Amino acid sequence: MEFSSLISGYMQSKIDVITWQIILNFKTIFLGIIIEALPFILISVIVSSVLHNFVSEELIQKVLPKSKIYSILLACFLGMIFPACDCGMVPIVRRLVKKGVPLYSAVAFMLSAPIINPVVATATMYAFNSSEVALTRISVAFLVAFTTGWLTSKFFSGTELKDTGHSHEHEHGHDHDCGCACHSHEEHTIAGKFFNVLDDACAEFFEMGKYLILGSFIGAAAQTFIPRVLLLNVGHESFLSIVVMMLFAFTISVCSSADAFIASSFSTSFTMGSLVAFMVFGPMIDIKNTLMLAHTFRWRFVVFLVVMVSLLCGLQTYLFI
Amino acid sequence: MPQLNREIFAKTLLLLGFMILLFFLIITNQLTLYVHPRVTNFIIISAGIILIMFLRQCWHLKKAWTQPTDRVHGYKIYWKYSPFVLTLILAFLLPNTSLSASLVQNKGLNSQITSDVSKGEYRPLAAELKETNLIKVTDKNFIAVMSELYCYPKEYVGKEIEMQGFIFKDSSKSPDRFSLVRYVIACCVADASPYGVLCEIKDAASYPEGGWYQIQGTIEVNENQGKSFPVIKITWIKSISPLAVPYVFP
Repeated sequence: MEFSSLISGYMQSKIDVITWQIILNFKTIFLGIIIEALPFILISVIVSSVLHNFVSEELIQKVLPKSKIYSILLACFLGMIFPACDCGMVPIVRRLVKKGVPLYSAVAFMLSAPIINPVVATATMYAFNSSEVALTRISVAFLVAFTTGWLTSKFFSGTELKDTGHSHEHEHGHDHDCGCACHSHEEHTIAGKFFNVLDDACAEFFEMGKYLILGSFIGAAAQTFIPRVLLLNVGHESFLSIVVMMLFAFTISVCSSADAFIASSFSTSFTMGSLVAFMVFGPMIDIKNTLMLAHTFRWRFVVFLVVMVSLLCGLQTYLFI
Repeated sequence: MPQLNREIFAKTLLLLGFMILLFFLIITNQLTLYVHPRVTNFIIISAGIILIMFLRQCWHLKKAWTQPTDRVHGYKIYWKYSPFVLTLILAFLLPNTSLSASLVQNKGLNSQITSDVSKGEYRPLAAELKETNLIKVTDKNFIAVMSELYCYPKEYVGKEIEMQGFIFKDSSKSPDRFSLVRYVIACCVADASPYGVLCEIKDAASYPEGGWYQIQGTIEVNENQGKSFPVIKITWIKSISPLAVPYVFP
């Protein structure tokens, strides 16, 4: 576009080439993460809207196992048939909880689905050229997800959802989340439902999309501005490397299928434990997710979740790998 | 009284902006500057979904024009939509480029070469490369060749090699050497990893960092702290325009 080359020419005369290159690198990575994640966010808000409009609470109650343990176990492996990227989890999970899925199952699903699925398992095998690493990643993820789900069932009895100021429930359980054009009565025609799905998906896209953008911004900044030397210095210490890798996973925002490749790039300088921690913690808890979670759930639950997952993940990789 | 519902209007414009951005990148073949080509179909579908959402918002806009619905008052709108506006501004105002050489230092050259290659378990091209005397590096064999050279440089001493890439100068290396590098992308630019080989030529300093070149040379081996590494003694070098698809996509 000629406009952008005009800007480019102007900027290059004002600031030096290196700074301009850094700005462009930042823009490339920033936009790259967003474009890569866009299909997943769109699919997830559509799935969430379809769930909202077509699947009733009664159906969900019928399908769920009654026992807590089985419910959590099932949730942990649902990702095998329902792979999801971690960018799109929160809208779906919120919808599930609102539909009556118990919080502990929804949490187990949210933590495990981005990792325990065929796409990510394949990517991990490919990135490390070893099925052992992939299996380790999946096992650790399963333990963390299951334990967190089980602990959630012990400590939290409600939905822990935030009551946002401008959402209100109608008698039939239909609600809208922000000031879009309100469809004020229940739709019975397929066409009517289709349009409701479209409207809900659109509203949710704008609601969650801004966290994707914020997360990508921070992730791109971390990649462009943090010198690798800083990371390399701590790579070989068994405890510090895990902490650093988890913090790194928290700040850079890449999809769960791509983080295996980033992790393998550190395999010569970091311990295997820290790399597994990176690959398990990142898809579960990162800046994007945390912002979305804080927007959706009560503070105390978000804090619980972050602390619990961090502890479980860190301890497991430190003690066993 | 006809009113323009500000919120619906904002959503309409933003959806339109994203739609135009995606279609523009797809049509001008610049999508590969950001993501792996295999994702292209997903992006096309996403652009289609955004188009449908855009059309629906236009419909709402038209409806709200005559029947004003509940509006969000105040300036909350601007917070809600500003990240999208910022993204579109950055996307359109700044040119689409490939990652520059300056990022190589940050990401670590050849840091991605997996340990299994160096252990000798995964060497698909080893037999084929052993036979030939001139190794032509292409997009398809780029990673394999780079891994082979990096892990087993002694096996390739004396062979000729031809490759393309951009120049990266590591300040710690000697002044008549630079690395010829390309970025390998697994999923999207965020995971871009630089792969390259050290090259030796008499007036290396005169070649600008980031410049794209095609070279031919002979493979030699040097040692540093007990580890051998390959160096290409350049016999022929030509400046080329930056490749239309600068990244390697495995």
